[in-house]
Amino acid sequence: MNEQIFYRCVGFLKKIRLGWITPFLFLLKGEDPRSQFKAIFNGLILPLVSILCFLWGWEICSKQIVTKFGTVPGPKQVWSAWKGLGNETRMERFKELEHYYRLREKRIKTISKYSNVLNEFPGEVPNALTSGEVTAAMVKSKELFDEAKELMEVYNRLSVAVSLDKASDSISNLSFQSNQDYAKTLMIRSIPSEFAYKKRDESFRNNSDFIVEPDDSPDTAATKLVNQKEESKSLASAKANLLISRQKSTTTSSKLALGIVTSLPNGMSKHLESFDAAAIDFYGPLNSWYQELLAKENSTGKKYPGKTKVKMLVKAFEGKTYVGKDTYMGQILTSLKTVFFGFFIASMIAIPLGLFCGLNSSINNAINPLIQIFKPVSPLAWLPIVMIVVGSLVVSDDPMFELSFLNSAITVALCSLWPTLVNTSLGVSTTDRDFINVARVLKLGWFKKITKIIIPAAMPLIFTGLRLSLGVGWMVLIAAEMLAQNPGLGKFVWDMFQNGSSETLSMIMVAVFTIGIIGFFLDTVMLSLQELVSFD
Amino acid sequence: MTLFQLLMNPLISLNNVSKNYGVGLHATEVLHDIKLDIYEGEFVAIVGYSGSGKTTLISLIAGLITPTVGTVLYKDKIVCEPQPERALVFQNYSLLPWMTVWENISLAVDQVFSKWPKSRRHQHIRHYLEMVNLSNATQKRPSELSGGMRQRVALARALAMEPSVLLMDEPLGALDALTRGNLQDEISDIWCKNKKTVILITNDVDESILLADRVIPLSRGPKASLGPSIPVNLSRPRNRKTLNKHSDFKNLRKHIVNYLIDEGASQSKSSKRKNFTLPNILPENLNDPARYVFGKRQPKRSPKVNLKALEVEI
Repeated sequence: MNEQIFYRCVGFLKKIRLGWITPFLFLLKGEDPRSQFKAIFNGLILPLVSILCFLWGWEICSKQIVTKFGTVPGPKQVWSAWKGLGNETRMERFKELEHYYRLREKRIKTISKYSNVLNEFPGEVPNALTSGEVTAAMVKSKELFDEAKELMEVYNRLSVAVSLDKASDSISNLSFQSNQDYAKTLMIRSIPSEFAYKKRDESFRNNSDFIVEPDDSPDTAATKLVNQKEESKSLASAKANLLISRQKSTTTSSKLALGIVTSLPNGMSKHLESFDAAAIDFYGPLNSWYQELLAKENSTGKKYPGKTKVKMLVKAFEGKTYVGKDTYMGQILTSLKTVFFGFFIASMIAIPLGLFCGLNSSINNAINPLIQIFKPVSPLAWLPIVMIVVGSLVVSDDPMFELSFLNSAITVALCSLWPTLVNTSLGVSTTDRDFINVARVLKLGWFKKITKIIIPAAMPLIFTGLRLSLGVGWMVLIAAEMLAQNPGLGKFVWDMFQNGSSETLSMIMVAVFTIGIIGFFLDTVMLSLQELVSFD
Repeated sequence: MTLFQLLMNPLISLNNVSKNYGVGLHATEVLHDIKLDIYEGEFVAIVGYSGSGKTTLISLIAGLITPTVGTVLYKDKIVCEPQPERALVFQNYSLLPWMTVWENISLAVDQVFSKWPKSRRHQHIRHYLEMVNLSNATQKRPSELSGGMRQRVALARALAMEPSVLLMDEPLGALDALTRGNLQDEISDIWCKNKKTVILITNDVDESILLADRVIPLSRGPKASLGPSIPVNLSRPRNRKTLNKHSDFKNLRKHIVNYLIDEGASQSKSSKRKNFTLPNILPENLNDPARYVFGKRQPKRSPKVNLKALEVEI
């Protein structure tokens, strides 16, 4: 029995592209090592070697091409750009945390300030809001937070510092409770290379060896130009290295800082949580009290003296969620949401339509020309139509979905409709005659015939269609997002292209790899689903 | 044919039935002028060459196809569509591969006995699973079963519909000789217990004599027609081991085989043999380990040969 399960797992792994794991399982089981090593070589080593060859070739080639943004980034730069994006996400998270700390501080302040008004509050003020223990925890954690924030900001201060002395001053002035030594070493280690680069850059701008004067002889001018070109090339690569090392330190410091904030001592974080929960609970009664006061005031015409104070309290306890700028992770999530929404719409249309096409050859004949005509239309042609039509249809001020989201989702749907439609129709129309005969002999009703016989029989092909559709949808999405300016990976690529910084190319390459890896992952998920529903 | 049978109407009767495939000049007459009466409680076997139109004949009786000329009557009514009353055991089992054994049978039982309470239906399914010795494989899927077990499931499914006629289309054709023998015994036992009307299509003369009350040979196609009905008066239960030495059995077998050979010889003399070239396809080696490449889909199995199309051409 166990043996059977083992072989079933092995078969499944092979089908979902994880076949390279199986030789290890066989080795653990004690099978003949020679054949397993051969399988490992074929399944794991060869692909890895080819990836390494690719990276090496990339590294070599990238140095040869100089664009207006500097040399084409190699794997190292792209990796550091990816790290930088992670960094950005962490910064954003940090800002979010800061927002909530500020909110808490404000709440505590208002509560202590207007405690005399609260005495008249009909309900009960939650204990967690006023207890000294909580406040103490809050103060302590805020301290830690500030310290972490400072740690992160030091780098920015460093790049602002004009001289080595000032930089070391600012470092020696730092007083950290936690990780003090580590942070300092981090800073000090990176200073020389920063200043070396600065000096070199300055000398490049001012050195007369590189600057062509009007009275230079042609020969001198030519030599100067050659020198200039050489120096600027080597400066570019120095800058790239500097960026990488800067990236590294920032990553470490932001990780460190976020680590400090997110792993607060247990008691402290418990206090914070209880405070937040109490604040949420408190808002409802507080607000209704305020409304009551207002109503009373209106009906009696008598002014309540503490009204403004209550109003301030209500304002302090309003739930304010953090609205930050889109991080890279956020953009990936938006893209995934869009593609799944579009894919969902497409499937909802394509599967029933394909079912009818497959069941009835007349419908199929009628619809087929339309399918054939619309199938090859590029997403770029659909998008303007979708934008105009959706734009005119969605008129409400507060639509359920954002316009740009709908635009790209519907474009995705329009392009990813066809594979599912064609495959479903094929699957249904090629249902084995024998299965249909079974249904006929049993005199199954129309609905039962479809749900019990035809759909299960067509399932493998339907899922093949869905898999193709999702692949097409993911490909179309990037183009659609670029044009529709819907937040997402496509817009990210476009923005990077537009801003033209030295990191442009590496950022776009990061996006390319992200798109590829996510596409591969989606395909694998669909493949495993397909394997689960297939019955052979 | 007993006197009793002469007095009553046949359960199924085929009157001058012909069946053509194709239209116009390309039409091929597969069955020609078939006359057949089947009475209640009979076990009739129809023996013939493969490709002689046996499946067409049983499909006509089941109502899966309609005759070109003539009528098929069931209980004096013209057959125009299939019915659970004439259950069919298919040549290739036709079990639904996405359902377990239990679900396959319960699909039929739930449909036919939809008025019964659930517990009774369950008991019914369990009864028939026991009858074919499959009680411990209820939760398996057809792909996990051997050919013999699959055919048992198909048999149980047909029997569980409690049909008045059981039509079996070469039910044991795809099985090895030993399994086939076992299943023949089981079919024989089951028939002895409930004496249903059974029409068995087979290409195995021994099988037909072992199981049937009468054997009707079908001549070689195209334009196949039924030969004389040959009654088998061997006492039941019949034992395969002793039967082999039985002189009546030997004579019967000789008789049927000779008829089929003579008929076949005259047919092939009279009809012009059609020559056609087979497509030049080599079978794929699906077990070739070189094909299991990382990230690459496995080759698709070659499409199933359309048996009916072949039957017409041969």
